Amino acid sequence: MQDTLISVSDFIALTNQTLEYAYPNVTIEGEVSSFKVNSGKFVFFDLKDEESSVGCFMMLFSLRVPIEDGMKVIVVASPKLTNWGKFSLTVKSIRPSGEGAIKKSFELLKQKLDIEGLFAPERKRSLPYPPQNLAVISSTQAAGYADFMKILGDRWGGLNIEVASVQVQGANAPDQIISALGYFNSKEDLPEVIAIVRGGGSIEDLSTFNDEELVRAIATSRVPVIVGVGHETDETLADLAADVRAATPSNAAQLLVPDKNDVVRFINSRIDGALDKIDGRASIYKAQINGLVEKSLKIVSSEIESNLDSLRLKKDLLEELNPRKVLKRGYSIVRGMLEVDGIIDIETKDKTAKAVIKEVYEK
Amino acid sequence: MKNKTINKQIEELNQIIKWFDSDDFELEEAIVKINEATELAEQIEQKLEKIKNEVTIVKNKFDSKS
Repeated sequence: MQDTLISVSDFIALTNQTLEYAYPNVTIEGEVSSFKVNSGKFVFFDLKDEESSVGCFMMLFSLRVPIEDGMKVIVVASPKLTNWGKFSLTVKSIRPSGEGAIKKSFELLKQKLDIEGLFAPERKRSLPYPPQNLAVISSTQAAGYADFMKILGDRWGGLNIEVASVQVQGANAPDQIISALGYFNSKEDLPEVIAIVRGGGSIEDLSTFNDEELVRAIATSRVPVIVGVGHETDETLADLAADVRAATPSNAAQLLVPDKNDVVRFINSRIDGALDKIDGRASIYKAQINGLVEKSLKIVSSEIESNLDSLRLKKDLLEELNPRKVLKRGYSIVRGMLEVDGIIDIETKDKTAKAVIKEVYEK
Repeated sequence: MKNKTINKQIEELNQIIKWFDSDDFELEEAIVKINEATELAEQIEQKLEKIKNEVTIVKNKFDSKS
């Protein structure tokens, strides 16, 4: 090779071939410096450590997390020599490294998306309670998924659940979850809720749920989304963008469906309430009927009494008019024609007599 | 005949119970409705005890954004 004459371009091409063969992908950790974005599309920065520095280039759409100078990052890149002899790394993916950098990146993105209104309370939609058709995005191998499904099954039945099994950590996880969201959102029969769940993990493990594209996909989902990721104290941007945030996968199951035992108790208490209402109304009617009967009896009794009084009065009157009573008072009854020489019968209280009329006078 | 879902049955029961609090309440009709409600409640309770969730794993591979 030493004596072979080649052009500058050929040399650069050969060098790039060698680099591609030897280092198709390298993963490098370093600190960001001189970060800038040109023309709204091209990202340039240097990746450095205490002794060395290398230039990096990437397209803005590949930048999934906010980066700034001083941040420690891990890049997956391929080395390249440009036509002008500049050595640089073409970055395929970049992520913050270490708790400090991850937190910083989180805060930057949170602020950016908050200003855009992705986390606004007005955007939150309520979930059907309980749903009939549920979509789940999770890793079916993970404990968080198992907990979620168990609690769902213990609490409620009759759900139609469709599960998209995806990675929930690692470089490929955000795109897989986005793909699953796209799948469920494009179904002819949309599910009523999409649940995204994963169990606890380190800050790096949960960084999937701070991926900008994933957060935006959750915020713009046609179907309401509940996110139950990590432990109670973990907060991810996916939580903030979701319609409902659950503290854990188990909590997500509790928020989605009621406890059937509580439902049965509630139903029975409502039936008891209805029975009480029937009893109450029947008692009212009974009291009303008793009242009416009593009133009627009083009226009838009063009528009878009144009629009896009237009857007594008439009886007394008749008694007074009885001829026997008149005789007892000393009067007598005379029967016969009142004419001279006529014979009359005279009846007193205790005697009767016959008499001849001697004279008759006009009164 | 397709069985009603639990949700639909619970909704139906809620409507019956609501009637008891309405101005349309009549004692004779209440006897009929309480029997309906009790039967519905029993069906719901039995279903909740027995029925399982139907789980389907999507066959698609979600390797990249769709």
